[in-house]
Amino acid sequence: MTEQNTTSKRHVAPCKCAHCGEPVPASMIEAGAGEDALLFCCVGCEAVYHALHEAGFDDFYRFSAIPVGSNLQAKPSITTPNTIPAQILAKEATVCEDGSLELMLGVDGIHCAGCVWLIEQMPRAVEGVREARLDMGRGRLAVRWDAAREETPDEFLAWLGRFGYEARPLDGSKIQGHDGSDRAMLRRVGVTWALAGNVMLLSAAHYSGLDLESAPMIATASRWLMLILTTIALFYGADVILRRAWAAVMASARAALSGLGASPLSVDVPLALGMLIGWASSAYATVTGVGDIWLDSVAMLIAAVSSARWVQVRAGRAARQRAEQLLAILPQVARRLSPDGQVEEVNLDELAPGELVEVRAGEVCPADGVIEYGEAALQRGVMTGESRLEPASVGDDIEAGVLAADGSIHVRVRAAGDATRLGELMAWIDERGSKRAALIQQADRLGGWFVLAVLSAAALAGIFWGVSDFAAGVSVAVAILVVSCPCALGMATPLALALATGRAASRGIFIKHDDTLEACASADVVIFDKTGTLTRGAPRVSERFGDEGAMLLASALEARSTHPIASAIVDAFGHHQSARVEVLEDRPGRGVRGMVDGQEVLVGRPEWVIESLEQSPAGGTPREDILARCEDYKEAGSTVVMIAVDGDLEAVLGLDDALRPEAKAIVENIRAMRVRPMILSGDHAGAVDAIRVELGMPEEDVKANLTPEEKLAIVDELCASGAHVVMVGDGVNDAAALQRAHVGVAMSGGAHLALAAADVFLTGEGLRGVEQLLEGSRDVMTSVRRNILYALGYNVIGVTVAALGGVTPLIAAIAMPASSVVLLIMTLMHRTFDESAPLSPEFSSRDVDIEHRASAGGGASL
Amino acid sequence: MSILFVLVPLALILATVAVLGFIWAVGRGEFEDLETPAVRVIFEDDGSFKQDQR
Repeated sequence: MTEQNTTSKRHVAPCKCAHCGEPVPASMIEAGAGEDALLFCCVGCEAVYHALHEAGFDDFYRFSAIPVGSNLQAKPSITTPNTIPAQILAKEATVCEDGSLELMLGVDGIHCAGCVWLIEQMPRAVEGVREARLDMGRGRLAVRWDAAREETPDEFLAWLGRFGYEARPLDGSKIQGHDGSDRAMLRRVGVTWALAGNVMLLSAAHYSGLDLESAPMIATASRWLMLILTTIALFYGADVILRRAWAAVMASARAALSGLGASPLSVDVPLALGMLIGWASSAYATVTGVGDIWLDSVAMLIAAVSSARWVQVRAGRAARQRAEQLLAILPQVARRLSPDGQVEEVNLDELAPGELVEVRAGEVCPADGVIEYGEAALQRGVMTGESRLEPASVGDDIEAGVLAADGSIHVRVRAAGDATRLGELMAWIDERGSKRAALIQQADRLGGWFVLAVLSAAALAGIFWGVSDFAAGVSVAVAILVVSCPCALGMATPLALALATGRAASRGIFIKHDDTLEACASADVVIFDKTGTLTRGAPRVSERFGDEGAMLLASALEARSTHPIASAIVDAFGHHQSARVEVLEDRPGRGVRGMVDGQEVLVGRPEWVIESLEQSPAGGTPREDILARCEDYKEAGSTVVMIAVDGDLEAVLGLDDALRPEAKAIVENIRAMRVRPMILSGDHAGAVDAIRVELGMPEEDVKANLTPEEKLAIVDELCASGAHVVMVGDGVNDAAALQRAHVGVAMSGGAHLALAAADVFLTGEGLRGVEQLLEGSRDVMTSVRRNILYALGYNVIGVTVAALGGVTPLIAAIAMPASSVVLLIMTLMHRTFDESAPLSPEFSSRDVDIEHRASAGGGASL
Repeated sequence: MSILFVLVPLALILATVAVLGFIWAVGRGEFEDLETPAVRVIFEDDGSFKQDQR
């Protein structure tokens, strides 16, 4: 493919990044559309593209399969503190050998190779920085800088911010695996496989004829060697399994003794039992020189199980990490103002209600309270997902976690620490427990029955054979216990779930826990929030009536405002570029009055516009047709905006929060899966009903005007009635319900808290992920059920053959790994969340969006 | 066959060296990030993208 060819192809597909091919976010489409018609997903890509182009290295794009980063796409900047407090530096930064400091930062907004390149240019761009190394997959940046230069940390934060990367120091104690548990696990996997490999090599000699009669010295030596290696594997590699199995047995015994009845044994118990019996009988055989040895089977089993655990732990890591990272927002220090005006920095937990704290520009408020001094633009994205700035001044409430984007304020603390709204919600999120018990118990019960069945089979067969020949009886019993090791039971299910979780993540569906998939598969009810979930969460002009010219004037005036309604009007009618605009009055919640090209224009709520007209000296007559339309729109549930020019009512607009284009199809597909879709909304009845009619849902499944508590109550009620509930939402008012439902799904662009409360979060735009999640989870459960059936089948055959005395160590050594390999292949072949499946219409919905903007812009230029 | 008494322990010692190497690598965090290094090879040491050297 020639360079020209590639370039032209990139021009044809305008909503893919010209550099990395990732979808381009809407914000970048606006920003970058002017210049040579190339679009980029991020500033990094744009910079790299131009750097490459200038260096005459367009051939780069022939290899356009640049490893594209994980799809952890964040929306553009939420809360970016612009300074790192000294206490955090002291606590989190590590001192390197050469005296420089190193700090780990979580960075959002990394898309591709270009971002890595750009960020790693930091030592060149920021004075004092010695090294910057980015971990693309996890969005972690290690920065090392000269300890002597104190301003460097703030400078590199600002430098990152300039390119749109959101960075904040990570709390070391909260990073999973930071304590080295991840590394220990991987070490275990490597060591157990090395041991298992060597044991297998040694045992191969035995299978090919080496025995105690023909070569007693070598045979004994190699038996001892195998025993030593396997013993290391057992007590180092299988340490965790042995402990957990022991704990389960003890718990069960305690429960039985105290008369509570036996609590179920976990699947670890049969695993540990098989390993221990196999090892112990082999050790006995080695020491006495009589009997079979099963050491290769045991070593293989340990290696396989520890690998499976490692895969399992890694699978959900990305999703959990990201949620945790988002919530690492609270500052750890507060700046307290004492009554005599002194400022002192205190730890967050020393803060008490009634005290006064200072929050400077770019800082996150540490506690709930009331602003007592100053003005600031607040950014409440953590709570609401809304990235717009809201002005706030004396007397306004402020919550912990809210960013003061500009302006310095003093806040009288009302609640601090865990008593803040954020703290309460976080505490809630932390206590996961009771709701998953059922699923875990189910798996454990299976494990318990399995132990019982295998133990009684071994006992019966042992007695049967032992009556005539005691040694044969023991050998058969051991054979049964070893061969029936529930490798498949213990490994297949988590492996299938982990693989599916990984595949889902590559499609923008992040699943925090494996068992979530199980819960999704049995879902009966899917509850949708309305705003931001079924709808886009931003109003759009859906109805218009009156003079087009007036609408253009209104749009020119509204271009000066950042209110969502203003943006909707500008989106619909475009910028009226040549106009001279002067804003005379901007009343939040009411409207705007201003001069456009010498004409006085009023845009706002009907009541305010009419009232203003009545008061104005010109005193224009209200037009009946416009007033009638106004009533119609109101009845349809729309938000109504009136436009008056020079004292005359000229036009009326109806704004709706439009349904996502794919919503109807998704709801129908969900219904086709025999899952009941429902809508719970906090919005007013008119608007919700319009959506209901459009989606064709029965009235009893749609509820409006709900408080978060009522939502929670409905979810509880449904759960209590035995239904399996999946809740899809995006706002902080959904967080509780998301947490309480069997599965909570958070939409992309939602509040950080909703994201943390949810079990699943979608990073792709739109609702398609919900459908994929339901389909994929059902699919993966089919795979799991098949695996369990297979594992049970293998065991029934294995135990039967062993009971008949047919299983020798050689057969066990072949059959056990073979059964695992077959299982692994079965699982891998089952392509849940397959990428070759029909692709979600993420791109098409973006196309619609772009077209909409394009046509709106075209209309305005006429 | 007695040579096995030398060869097998020798093989095990070699295996131990490999395992120690692996443990050292894990400790250094070599397996933490498997994505970025693959991307980093396309950057030149002077900070530019790799140019054709012919």
